Amino acid sequence: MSEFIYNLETFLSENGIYAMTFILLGLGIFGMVSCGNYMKKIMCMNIMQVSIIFFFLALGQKEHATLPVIVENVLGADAYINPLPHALMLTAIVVSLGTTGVALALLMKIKEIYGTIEEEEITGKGWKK
Amino acid sequence: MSFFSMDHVPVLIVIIPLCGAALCPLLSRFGPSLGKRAVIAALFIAFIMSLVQLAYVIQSGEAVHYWLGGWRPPYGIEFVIDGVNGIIIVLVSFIGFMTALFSSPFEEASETSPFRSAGYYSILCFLVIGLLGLSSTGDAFNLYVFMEIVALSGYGLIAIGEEKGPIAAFRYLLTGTIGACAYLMGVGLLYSATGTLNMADLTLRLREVDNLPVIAVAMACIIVGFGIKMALFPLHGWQPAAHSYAHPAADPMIAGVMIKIPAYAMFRFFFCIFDSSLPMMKTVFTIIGIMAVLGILYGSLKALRYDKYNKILAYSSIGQVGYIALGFAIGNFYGIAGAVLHILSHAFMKTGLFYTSAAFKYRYGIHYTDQLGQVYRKMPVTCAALVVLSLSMIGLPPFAGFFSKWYLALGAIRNGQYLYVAVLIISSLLSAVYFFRIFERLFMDEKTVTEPDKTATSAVPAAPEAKRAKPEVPLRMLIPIGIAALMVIALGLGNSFIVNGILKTTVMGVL
Amino acid sequence: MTIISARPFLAVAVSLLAALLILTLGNRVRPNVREGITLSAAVIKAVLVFSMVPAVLSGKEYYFCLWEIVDGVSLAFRTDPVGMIFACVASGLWIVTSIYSIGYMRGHHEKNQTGYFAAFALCLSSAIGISFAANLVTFFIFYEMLTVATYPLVAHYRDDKAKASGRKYLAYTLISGQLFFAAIAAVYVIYGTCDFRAGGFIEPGSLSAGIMLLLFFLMIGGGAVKAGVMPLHGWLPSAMVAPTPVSALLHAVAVVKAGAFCVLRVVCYVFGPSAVSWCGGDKILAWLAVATILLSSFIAMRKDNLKARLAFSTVGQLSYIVLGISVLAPYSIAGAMFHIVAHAFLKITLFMCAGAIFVTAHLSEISTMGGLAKRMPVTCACFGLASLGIAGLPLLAGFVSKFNIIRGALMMGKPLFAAVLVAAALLALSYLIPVVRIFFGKSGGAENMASGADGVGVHEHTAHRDATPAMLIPIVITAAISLILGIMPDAGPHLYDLAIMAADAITGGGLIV
Repeated sequence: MSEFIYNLETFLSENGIYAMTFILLGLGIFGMVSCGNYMKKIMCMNIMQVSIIFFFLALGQKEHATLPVIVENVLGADAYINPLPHALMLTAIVVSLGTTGVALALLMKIKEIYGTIEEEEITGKGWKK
Repeated sequence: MSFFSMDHVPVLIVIIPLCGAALCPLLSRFGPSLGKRAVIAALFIAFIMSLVQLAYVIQSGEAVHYWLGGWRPPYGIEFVIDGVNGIIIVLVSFIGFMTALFSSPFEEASETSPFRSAGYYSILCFLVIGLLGLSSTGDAFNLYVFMEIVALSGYGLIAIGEEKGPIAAFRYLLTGTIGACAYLMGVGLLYSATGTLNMADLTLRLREVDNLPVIAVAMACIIVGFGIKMALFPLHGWQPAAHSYAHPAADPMIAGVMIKIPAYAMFRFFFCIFDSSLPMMKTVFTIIGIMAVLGILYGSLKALRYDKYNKILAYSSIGQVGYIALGFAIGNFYGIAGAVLHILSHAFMKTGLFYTSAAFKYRYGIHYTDQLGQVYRKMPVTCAALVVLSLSMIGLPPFAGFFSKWYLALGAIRNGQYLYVAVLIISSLLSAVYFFRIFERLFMDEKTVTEPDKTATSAVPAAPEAKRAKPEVPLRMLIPIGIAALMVIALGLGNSFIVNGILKTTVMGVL
Repeated sequence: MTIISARPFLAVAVSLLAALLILTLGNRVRPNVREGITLSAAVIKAVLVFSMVPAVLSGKEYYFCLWEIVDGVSLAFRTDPVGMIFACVASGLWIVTSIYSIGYMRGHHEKNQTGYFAAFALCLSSAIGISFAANLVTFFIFYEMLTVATYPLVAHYRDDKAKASGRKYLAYTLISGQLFFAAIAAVYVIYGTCDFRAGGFIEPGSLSAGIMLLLFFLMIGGGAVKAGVMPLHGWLPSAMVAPTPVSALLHAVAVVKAGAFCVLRVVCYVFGPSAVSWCGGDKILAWLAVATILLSSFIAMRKDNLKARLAFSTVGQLSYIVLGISVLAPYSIAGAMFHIVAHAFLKITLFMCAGAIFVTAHLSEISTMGGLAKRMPVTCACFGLASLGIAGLPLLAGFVSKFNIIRGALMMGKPLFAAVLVAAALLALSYLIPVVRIFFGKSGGAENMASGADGVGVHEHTAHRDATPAMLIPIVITAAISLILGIMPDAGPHLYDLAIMAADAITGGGLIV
């Protein structure tokens, strides 16, 4: 039993964050598929995107390291956390912001045309042929 | 080449349209068609430069590397232009230019403000930029960014289309974002395994990685990502609606080119980055092959069921993308040559067919094939192009579609994958059914079209020029239609120049 | 030996150009100019083709390679003797059918004549391409072009019947074409070449017999469909809805002959007699041909529609060619090749007569044609002559070919095939001679004639007139040629010599002393 807990602890401390991001990813996709409301779908889409961002950020972390900013003298590369994932994720956040923006704009348009953002009602209004 | 420095051409091909796209709405404040002209000019320059670049690549026989900001790879972003993507960049910029030209009668006909129509050109140009960047970049993350540029502008162009455009765009947005995230996840996994994002560097380092599960998961993610973007069965759900409701003038670009470039990117991942000799790749290729086979059959069968011209074309695209994936699944030189050739030829075929579709809509508001009766008397050139392009889609010689099929069949037989040959044949026959049905409607139905009712028929009202009826459609539309048909013939007859002259050196180097 | 010359290519290109010209100008210029394009292209093409005959006869070959069309295979043309035969027939008959078409189409006030003449030119272009193609890929390109170009002709009337027969035609030809395609790809992958070679390039035993048989039949299928070999003949009778010149073209000049020619190429120039007999393909093919010959004759007897009867006669006659090839004897191969010529002239005469009768007297059913010879003596005489030729009576072209096929069969020790051929000749007599007898018999169907026509006035007008010269002259010419070829098989372009030369090259000698 104690061995199990030990194993669990190591797992959580080493890979737990990844497990969490994958759970988040799964939740996001599940939500996108299962929610009938388009607004909720957008939210779930954001959750999915955030999970990817977490994943990347977690990649850049390491123990006993500091911010990648040169304060006084240059330490070895080992002493800094990896800044690249953060830089990448800034871009990804911008992209996801753009996507969300477009999605919201589309949603407004859909509301204008169909008067609703519930998938079932829209489907009823002749979406499928 | 001395008078023209090659130094910055790879990036200028992307930058110049970017300037055009950004300036377009601004310029439209000063003159109604100024923005449009800026976009068209920028795309034309990009096209010319891409030709120069391709000539240079072929002449020098090796890939051009461009380091953005002078940062050496693997630290900086790199553009790599070899023979294959050199020619794809030419394709994208050429079709982009033609489509911008093609759009102008539509925009003039619709009663939107110049600013809004400038917005249209701007988005169209962004789509081209994204595709250009997607094909030139040598950086896995940069590819994601360009893919999202493509996707975002694609959502826009689909949303401003016909009545159901917004909802088609919204669904595409949801699916496309899943695809993009899947791809990003794949890149993240690769990064975690290798610590690099540069494709050339990835290639080297992946050879040393022994953590195969990570690569396998990454590969799965990437397949899903590109599969969604290129509408590969069973990830195609967004595609039929998106292709049939998009803005009619931009539809050629969306249907013809937008789904091909991710296919090219897939090629790079499979054959340039991953070690295609890994035992695992065999499974991957089998899976891709199954997806392709099912997609080909599904697309062709579904296309039989519809009367709506765009729907038929959209489902046929699902099948045709399957051809490309099939080429990757075959995985030898002929398979890849067939796939790349099919990227090119299908781009022209589908673009051309969507041009004709847009021309029918423009002139008569025709959306359904059963309205096509005897239209050929009124629009002979368009219909001649339609015939040529359709025959090419079926895969009849001497048009381009036949030759890509030929290489695919050669590759499949060489590998002993006779099932793939059978599928190619069946799909040809099925597409013969739906295209000849269009021919029957077009040439044999009694019904003659009436001049359109200006208020009702379609989202795109008939243009005032249509009344004067000098050419069947304005020349700006007619010329792209004609060029697409001619290109299909030229690509067919000249395919060996591409295969032997360009693909052989590049693809052989990879395999 | 080989002369590099663009002439074979030009012969293909000239009608391609004509087709494009007709399509682009057709509706803008007067019909006379449009038909002028057709005729001048036909003449130029015939001159080009016939001008190559002497050199080919002396054992030389024209060769022209355009460029590499796919990796490793060029778009190339070569004028070997057998290609020359088919090209001579096709290009020579194009002139005749063009003149006839003009008469028929105008006499019948057909619609869509522009598309008709363009498709016709395209068909001929493909036919010449097929005959001169130097390798399988070039061959296949033109073969599929022919398929597509024939479709608008078959569906010319654009009504439901035409649509249905067009669909049937496409279903048969496209499916077989695609299988042919797969087989070509397989042959290219396995043997690394696609070039036709007299005697074939496939070694017996290079594959397992079953696989080779499969490949053989995938390839033959492409030809057999167009040649109407029996289980695959369904499209041919239903294509009869097309205008008569189209039927003439389908049956005599381009399409079915292209099918027979394809069988010839595959058997003799791809697989070669030795590989075919090794895998056993020849026996199956021969028995299929025998069955077709007999069955089609029986069906033909029961058809009252003249064109339908002729259609089934074609099905049978084409199988003569297939049988001659599959006997694999030198003489029978030569006979089969010459039968391409003989049958072309005979059958085109018959079809043109049927068309002339249809346009002039508005009759299509045999039972209504009693006493027709009084009104249309020349047409009926030509019909009679050609009927005898089809049956293979001496002094007519059909005799030369059938005699050779039978001779070959006997030399190979296959008397059964010889017996079938003789029986088939009698059968042909039994279904064609009654027609002639009705022509020359009593005018029993006079009341039918009146009811079959548009009105009495038309009849009064045409009562004592034979067909118009535009139709009559071609009929007389082809009938005369089939007579001349029967008496002197070597008249004109020495087609019989060419056939002997080709058969000699295929079977490795013995024919030319």
